[in-house]
Amino acid sequence: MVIGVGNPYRRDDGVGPAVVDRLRGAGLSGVTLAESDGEACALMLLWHGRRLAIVVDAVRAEPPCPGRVHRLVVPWPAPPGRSAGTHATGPADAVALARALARLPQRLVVYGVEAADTGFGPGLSPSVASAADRLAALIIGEARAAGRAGTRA
Amino acid sequence: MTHRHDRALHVAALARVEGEGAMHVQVDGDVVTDVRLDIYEPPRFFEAFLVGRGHHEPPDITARICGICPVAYQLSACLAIEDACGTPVSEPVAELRRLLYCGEWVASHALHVYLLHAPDFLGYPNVVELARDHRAAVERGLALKQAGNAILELVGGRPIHPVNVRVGGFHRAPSPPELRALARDVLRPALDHALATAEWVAGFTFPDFTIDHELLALVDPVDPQRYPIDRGAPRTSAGRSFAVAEFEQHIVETQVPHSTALHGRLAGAGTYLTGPLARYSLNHARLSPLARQAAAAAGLGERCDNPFRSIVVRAVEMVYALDEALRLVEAYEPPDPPYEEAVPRAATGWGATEAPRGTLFHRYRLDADGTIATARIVPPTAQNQPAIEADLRRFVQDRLGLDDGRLTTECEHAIRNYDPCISCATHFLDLTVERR
Repeated sequence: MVIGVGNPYRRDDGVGPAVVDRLRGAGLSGVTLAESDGEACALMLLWHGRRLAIVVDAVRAEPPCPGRVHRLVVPWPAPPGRSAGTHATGPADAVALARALARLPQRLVVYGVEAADTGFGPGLSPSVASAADRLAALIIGEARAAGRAGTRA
Repeated sequence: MTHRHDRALHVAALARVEGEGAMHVQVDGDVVTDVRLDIYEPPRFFEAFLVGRGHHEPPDITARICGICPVAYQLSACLAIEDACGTPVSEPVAELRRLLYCGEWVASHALHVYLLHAPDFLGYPNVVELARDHRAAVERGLALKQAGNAILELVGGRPIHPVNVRVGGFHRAPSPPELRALARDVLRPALDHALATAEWVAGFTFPDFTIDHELLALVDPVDPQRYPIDRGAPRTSAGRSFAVAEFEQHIVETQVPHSTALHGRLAGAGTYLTGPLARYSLNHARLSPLARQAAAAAGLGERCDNPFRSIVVRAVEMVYALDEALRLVEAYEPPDPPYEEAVPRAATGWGATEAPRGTLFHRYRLDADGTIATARIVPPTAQNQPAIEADLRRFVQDRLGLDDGRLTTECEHAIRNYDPCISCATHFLDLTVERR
């Protein structure tokens, strides 16, 4: 399962769905592709019961380096204790709740791509588009390796 | 010092609400002198976006106001545009809309009851901590939310910002077998979850706190069995009744410096409350027998004036919405055609429906070619802000002995009683309490 998180109408925030788009023609068998706005419950439903789930989302980092890809494998450091409003819930909340409910996939990998521009409109900035190409190729390799190992992704 | 005379509480970012806002409480001596719900989420200018657009566009544009209650925006917009065009929809279209709306009620109420509000009653900081000790309950809440989403997806095309709604009806009507499978596989089990939810929340401990605001909700003027969801005329607990087209004569909105949302007041009466308490108190007799039974078993009378018990009302409304959805599926006849073409004319139209958080009003003035000349949207949270502030003032006044941390926690709990949707209203909470 590969889940692209983000809004394609907010430039680089759409890098998750853009990676999923690049995977559609890759002939990956046994791999489900999905897009999500990142809402915690929806993410849990998507990845529940999977042996491997890969989530791709846009991130910001300081100092910034647009197009840089971060790879996190759950478990990562504990999420904040205070629950935010519904507008601020996202993958970290989904992981925390899924862990409490035993709804995490057997293996969860999150790729965060540093965004340059999250303004209005479609299309990725050049450095992020290039990162999406590289990341798609990486995920194809990861999914095929998981397939060879007999893992339902 | 064991006591303080001057005090200010400030919560800079309210948690577990829809959107972004803050709360400020000023205490001078032993008197609460000011309570402000500071809504700082930027204004979103949707009414201005709509001007100059075509008359078919409001359902898709206004759905974007809210990710929790997009159907409410879509259907209030449709009613208003269809009113302007003089094109009432067929009964099968109206019933399919009601089914779609039931899905939104279930998804929205399940989110609020389980993920946002229940942790307050059981002493947890958030749903993650709640889930560690009450896993089965949270699983039930997620199943309910999923059931609501399943209706939205099948009838609306997708669960958030549905794409199948259009002025005059739907782009595509689902087939009876699709709906029957939904009822069998999803809605019937979800109804059991909703009944269990009503029983669960009825066991919570509720502070002794009542309100005496005038209550406002839609009431169906035609069908005495129809709990208001997708249509109706405004009525208040004081007996005021008026047509949707007269809404703006009775509801006056004003700007306040501390909020990007307007404050609504009932002309000649002042603060009032819309939402589940109002809807239930004005329409108890219109609930289905099963929902009335669930309400009675949960300890609710024919009206409810304790906002802390709003969680029970929401649970009862989930029972109703699922019971009603099953009835609608049972009686379903696909609308053919799935929509009526609304031919524009130079006219003004008004529409109101019951969003999960209360009455949602739209008004559009169209030019002869359908271009929108003016638009007005009055969401529930804007209407409720003055009542929320007034209630908080009384609530804090009775709890001045609490330390700032405890008082802040209790204030946030109290605010969540109203399930404010700040994003809708800007069209929430950091709390500050200033004690002087």
